[in-house]
Formats: sequence, C-alpha cells, structure tokens
Amino acid sequence: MRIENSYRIIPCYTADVSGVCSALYELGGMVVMHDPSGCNSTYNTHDETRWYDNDSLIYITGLTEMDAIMGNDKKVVRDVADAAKRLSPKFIALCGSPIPFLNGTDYNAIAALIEKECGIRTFAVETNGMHDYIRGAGAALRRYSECVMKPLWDKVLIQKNMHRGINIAESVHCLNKDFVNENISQKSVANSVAGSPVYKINTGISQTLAEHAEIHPHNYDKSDKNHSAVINILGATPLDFTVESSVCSLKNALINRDIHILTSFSASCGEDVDKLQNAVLADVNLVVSTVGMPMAEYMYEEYGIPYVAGIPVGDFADTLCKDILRAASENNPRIVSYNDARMQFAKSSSLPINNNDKLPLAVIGEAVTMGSLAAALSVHYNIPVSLLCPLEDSDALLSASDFKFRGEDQCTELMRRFEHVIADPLYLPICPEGTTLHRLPHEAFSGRCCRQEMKDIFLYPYEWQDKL
Amino acid sequence: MFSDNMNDKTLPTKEYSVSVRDAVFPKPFYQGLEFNAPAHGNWNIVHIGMLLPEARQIYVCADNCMRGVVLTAAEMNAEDRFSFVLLDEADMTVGNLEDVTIKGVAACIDKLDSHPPVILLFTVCVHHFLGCDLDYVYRKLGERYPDIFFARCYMDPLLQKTRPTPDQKLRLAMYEPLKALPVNKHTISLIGSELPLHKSSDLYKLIELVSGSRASNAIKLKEISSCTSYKEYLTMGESALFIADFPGALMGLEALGKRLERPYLYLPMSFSYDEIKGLWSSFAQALYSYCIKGSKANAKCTLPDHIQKLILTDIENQKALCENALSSLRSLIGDTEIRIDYVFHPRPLGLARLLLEHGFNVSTVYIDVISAEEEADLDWLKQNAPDMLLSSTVQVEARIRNRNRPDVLAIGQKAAWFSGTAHFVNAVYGAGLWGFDGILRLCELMEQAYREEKDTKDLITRKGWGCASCV
Repeated sequence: MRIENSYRIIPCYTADVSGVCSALYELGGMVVMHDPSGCNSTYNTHDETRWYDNDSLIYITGLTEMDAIMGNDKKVVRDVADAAKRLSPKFIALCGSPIPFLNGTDYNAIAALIEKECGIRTFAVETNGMHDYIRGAGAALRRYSECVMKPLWDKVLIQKNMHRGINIAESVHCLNKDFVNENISQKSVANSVAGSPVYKINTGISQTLAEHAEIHPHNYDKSDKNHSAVINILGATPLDFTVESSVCSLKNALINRDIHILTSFSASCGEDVDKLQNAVLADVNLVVSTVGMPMAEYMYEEYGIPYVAGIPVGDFADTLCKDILRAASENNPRIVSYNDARMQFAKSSSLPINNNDKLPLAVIGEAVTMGSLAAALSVHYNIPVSLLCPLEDSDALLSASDFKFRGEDQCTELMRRFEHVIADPLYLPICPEGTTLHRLPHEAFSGRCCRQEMKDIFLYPYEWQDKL
Repeated sequence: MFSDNMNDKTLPTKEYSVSVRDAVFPKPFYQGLEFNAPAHGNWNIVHIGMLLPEARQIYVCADNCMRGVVLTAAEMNAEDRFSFVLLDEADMTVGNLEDVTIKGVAACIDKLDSHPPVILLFTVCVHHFLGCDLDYVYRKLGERYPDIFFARCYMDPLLQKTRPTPDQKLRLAMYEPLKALPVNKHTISLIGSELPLHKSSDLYKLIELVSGSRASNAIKLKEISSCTSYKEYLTMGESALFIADFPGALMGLEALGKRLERPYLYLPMSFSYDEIKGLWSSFAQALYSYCIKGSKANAKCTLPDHIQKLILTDIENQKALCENALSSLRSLIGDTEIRIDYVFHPRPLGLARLLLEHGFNVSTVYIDVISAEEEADLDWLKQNAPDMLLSSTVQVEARIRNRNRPDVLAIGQKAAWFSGTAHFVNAVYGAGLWGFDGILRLCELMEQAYREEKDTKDLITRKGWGCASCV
C-alpha cells in the first residue's frame, strides 16, 4: 500500500472508464461499461458536460454478484448484442471496472462474440477503474483508430492513390503495417533539446516514405490549397476543454495562422463524424492533450504522420504553429512544442530566483494544456514556469524542469518551492503557506464544483495578470 | 428470462414501456444494460452519511468509484469531512487487502488535526469479492484508535440486486454508535430520514393529540437531520420509541430497536386514506403506551376513549380537507397529462391510484422495480387503469426516447427529464409528505408546478435535493 494513496481533502482525477466514454462520446458508437452500478452515474454527473442535452449510447452492464462469480459472460454478450440491434450504433466499445478485472474478464473474446452476434464492429478498451482518464481516453482513441478508422483510412488512401494512377496492389503494399514497422526503430529514444524523450526515426524510413510520396499525406493537395499545413486535432475532450467555445477558439487560433483543420477527435465542435475518415490525409497531427498521444503514435506508426503536442494559447500560439510547419516540412516526427519553447526561454531568462529561493511560478494539471499555458506565461511574463503533473502516461510530455507527483503530501512539497501556483481551486486546501494559488478550474479534477468560474483559456490566457 | 413476445404476459418485457395490464410484479422490465438519466436529486450514501454530526467518512476503493463520492462531498461543501484510500492493482492482487485497508485508513486519520468521534468506513465490492476479513480490519482499527467509533458502511453495488443496498446498510450503520441510555418516555426518534419532518406533519399533530395540553406529557420527536452535534445525536439513545417512515430505513429501524431493546414502529408514507387511518391508530397507541404510560416494549395499552374520539374526528376533518384540495386541483389542471417517477416517492403507484381515483389524467409512472408495499396498488391499477404505462428509467431506449412534452405535469425529477417539461414537482424520497398533510401539501406542490415553470436542467442535475450545493 502506497502511503500517497491516502487522501485527506483533495479529490481524485476522472478515472479511465469515464475517459473512454468521454473520448468516444460524439463518434456515433455505443460504449458499455462492465460494472455493477455507479460508473455511469459518476461519469455523467461529474465527468460529462454533454449528458443532459446530447444523446450518446453509454451504458453499464449492471453486473451482479452471481454473474461476477460464475463468469456469466453470455449475459453480457446477449445484452449488448440485443441493445445494438435495437439502437444500430456505428461501433461498440467495451470497458471495465475493478470486479471484471479481478475475475479476469476476457474483453477481447466478449467483443468478438458480440461482433459475431450483431455484425457491428466491436472492440475492447482495457480499463479497470484504477487509472486516470488519460489512460482510458487515450486507449479508447487508439483502439477506435485501430478497429474502426483503419479500414476507412486505408480505403481513403487507396482511392487517392488510384486516382493518381497507383494500382491497388502497390497501394496496399504501401499501407502494410509491417512495411512501416520494419523501417521504424520503435520507441528508440533520443534526447531532445528540452531533455524530454523524442522517438527517433531511422533515416531510412524517411527516404522510403519519400519514395512513396504519392501516399504520404505531406504532399496531399498542397498545390490545391492555400493553407500552409493540414492537421488533425487529437485529444480534445470536455475533460480538458470544458468551456463550450474552447474547441472552436482553439480551431480559430490555428485557422488564423493559416493552419487548415481536417478533423477533430473527439469533441468535434459540430463536425460531421463521417469526415473523420479523411484524417489520414493530414500533414500533421496536433496533440492537444495527453489523451491524444496514443492515437498520434498509432497514426505515426501506421501512416507516418508526424505529430506536434501543444495548444495555441496566448504568446505560445505562434511558436506552436511554426512547429507544425516544421513537422510537416522537415519530416520531424514528434515535437513537444511547449517544452522547446519553455526551455529556449528559460535559458535566456535574466530573472533570478527570488530571495526565498522560490521559483516564481508553476502550473498544475494535464501536461499538454498546462505545458502550453506554461510556455505562454513564460514568454508573457519573462519568467521560467514549471509544470507539476499528477497524471499518468505523461512522462514523454514533460521537460527537465517539470515534476510528476502523486498524492497530497508530494503535491504540497512541490508547491512549497514556488511563489505562485496556477491550479484547480480544489488544490487550495493543500497549498502551503507562502505559496499563492491562482484559480484555474479543471473539469477532470473538480468536475462541476468550479465550472461556473471556467473561462475559455484561448480568450483569457492571462487571467492572473494583476496577481503574479 | 424476458419476453420478446408481447403476447407473453408472464415474463419481464424488454420494451421501454409496458401497460399496467401487462406489467409483471415485481420486475416488469428485463434487467439488461442500464442507462442513467441526468436527474440526480436522490441522496446517495455520502449525503446520507453526512447527516451524522461530526462524523468523518473514509472510503477505500478504486479511482472510478471514488470519483463519484469524493465529488459528492465537494459539491455539498463537505470535503473537509471526507477522506479516502485509492486501491490499485497491486493492492488487490497481493492478497493483503486487510493490511492495505488498515494502513490506508490509519494514514488518513493520522493526517487529521484531531480525531472525529465516529468514522463511517466504507469498504466496497472488491473487499467482498476478495473475501477481505472485515472483522479483523475493524478490530485492528478499533484497537489503534479507541477514541473513534468505526461504523461498518458499504459501497458494494455488486450485491444490491439480491441483498440489502448500500443505502439500506448505511441507514443501519449510522445508528450503531447509539447506546441504550435510560429511557426518557417523553422522547421518540425518527430513524433513517434525510430531511426533517415537516412541522405540519400528521405525526406532530398526533403527538400533540396524544400528549394533550399537560406540559408533563409533552413528547419530543428527535431526528438525526436536526441534531447539531454528536453529543446531541447520542441522546437519541434515550428514546422510548423509534419510528421510521421510509422503506429504506426499515432494516435499520428493526436492528436499532432490537439492539437497544426498545419498541419500534414502521409508519410508511402512504396515499391511501384507509392505510393512513390505520397508521394514525398504530402511532397514537404506541405513543400512549410508551410515552404516556411508560410501558415496556410490546406491552401496548388501549387508547382512552376521549383520545380515540379526537383522532376519529380529526381523521374525518383531514379527509374532507384532502377531498376539497384534490377537487380544486382537478378543476384547475383538468385533463393535463401527469407523469410520476419512483424517486419522487416510494409509493408512486399509490400516488397514481389516488390521483386516478380523483379524476386526474395520469398517463405514466417511471419505475423499474415495484415494491412489495405496492403490490395491492398494482392490482388496483390493473383493474381500473389498465392502459396506464409503466416506463423504465434504465432500459437502453430510455436514452433516445422523445423528450419533448412540455405540456406534461411531472411529479418528480426523472419524470420531468423524460418528459422534457418545465412544469414539475421538484422533490425526492417523499419530501416528508406524510399522511393527510402529505396529500394536502402535494396538492399545493402540483398547483405550483402547474402554474409556474422551473429551470429543469439547473434543478434536477444537482445532487442531493435539499442539500447544500456549490454547483
């Protein structure tokens, strides 16, 4: 038992199961949580802003004690297949809670049986209710890409190639996963300037892909459009982009800088879900929260599409867009834009650390959104800004000046090192004396508690102007 | 088993709605995948547990289960009375869940500036599933913190379809700290209700009727929701009689009465004149026996004639008032379609029956399982309103049904959401509507709902109707 797992007053973050539902909410499918009760209520009460007004097919199985002990998976298969026949979802996703984890439920087998029964694409997202939303939502988008989008994406590319005179056999060959994997040094880590891990790609793959430029999205219709880069947005969910206007503001910030947005996963801001099949034609994937990372990795592994992590907030927006163009034009596959920006700034900063040996400012929260805000604040206030991250699967998105933590005590000790901290208001009870907390509500932490004071961060990136 | 065939009247249906004529008792609907409507006014275990003054709640569970309860506490501005221990895979698979629980809870307690007098310790499905030795856990914690009472509470919905629900078990556990104090025959306690009993309630009226004008006979009714300190709460242990009016409290009432060797009486909220009349009689007799005469448990005395006459006269007066109120309301709202849900009141079918008997147009009752207390009402409806619908609130199609009936007068939050109406009675769990007074106040609430629109989305999405809310 880890002592940091005991909490006195702050809440825990949105969990993996809710993350799955949030990520897939607008994609036209049916999500089933294998759970006795509670997961659905928790999700739709505290983690979902769309539940009241927008219908989405999200259910629990209503697992009972007897079924859990006896392993009555037939009931799950029958119930899900029957519901799917009635409701005709575009796909079915299964995820799970602690009890199915303990009895070793084979979700992939259940998914296969459901798909056989009802003829609707069904896939499992491995969750057990013991991780945060980053894990669940990220896995959901990746599994959705693998199981639902891949056939569509392959088809789009084949059609595009045929249009350009490349025959089917060659197109299929080019799309073969092994073809790509053979040429990628998977997860070989090189050190970036910021010290964060960056996946290195063999020189050979770039050349090989370049030889097949007709299928490489880098060159897609470049001559036909006026935009400097065509991108997908990955990882936009209301858990990190809660204010209704924020996804649209995010898009506007990019469009105003001549970036063309092809698709958005998965808060689509009114987009037609059917257009998501065009995602494979993008130059670059823009990862706007850690949630988008597994999908970005998949699209890079499978289709060679590079990605950039960051959101175009405040004074950081221009740097991000330059990095998008760099990724598109220089075969630079993985850029954590905000870390580069902060590190470059930090080196040139002339501000000393103050007399109390405290650093001036830290932000707490999700790596990509808060990292980008940290970059914007660094530039705006001419100070180094650190990121304190309590969320899982974020290591690759942190810089050397950032900190991971778990639990209240670690958080308090980290906050103590800073003069100012920007964080969700529910961190206030553990903020130590001598450190000032500035309020920035985060849906995935405080849920509805502070929703009324949330603002569109793209419109108000420097709310703390007079306080810092 | 379920019925796909509409002609098969003996099995639960898989349809979203079923006519009363074809409804199977007690489960009219097949239990498959479950939807959860965004109407959250019902109290959960966190809300209920917070009624125990000065108590702290500690939960030991995984992230997703925790998220719902910790934010419930935060939304009701009670996060400073809530701690938790997160369980991960290692905790569940190494085989020492007892130690994990003890150490985790101890770490939570050791972080506090001072010890609370009582901790409601909630273990979960995982503890049950893994066969965690909870006796050992509670014993060790009790030894380590002898100044704290550890109440055994559960958040184990895995069991709730075949055994008592977490809610029922909590309504038992939160009275476990009570000890049998010397009997004060001028005190009775209402057990297991969330909200204070309305001062106009029949129960207060009966207390006055039985105790009369002599100050020496005055009887005080105590409720946990009115206690402002743990010390005050403990004085409920002196009660000469325990009563409960909510079905979910019955298990706790029986356990408490037997443990303290005190008389107890279940006085359910009802919309039936005959049943209310019987409850008046039972309560009056119990008050007279245990509070006026000071009898021991199960030694009831016969009510004196003058009290019996007073009661009978008052019952007739109250019935007449109810009839007038229902008649006036019927004249006002005419054939307006009425829909009722089970969260509004534990007797939704009884309520539908009362309204139908008085000429109202009740079309639908939203209900998933029919209580044994309502079997007779179901039978009456089958005979007298066979076309009235029962609609499931959890069946999969509940998500996508048309919710555009702003003309409906809804009684309850779920009925309001499923109808898409702004005209609704906003209350849960009976709202303290007891007896004839309950019927009169219901008429007032229905009239208000008919005349005025409410902000449905704002009101029904708030958790714990009547609790503080920061949302």
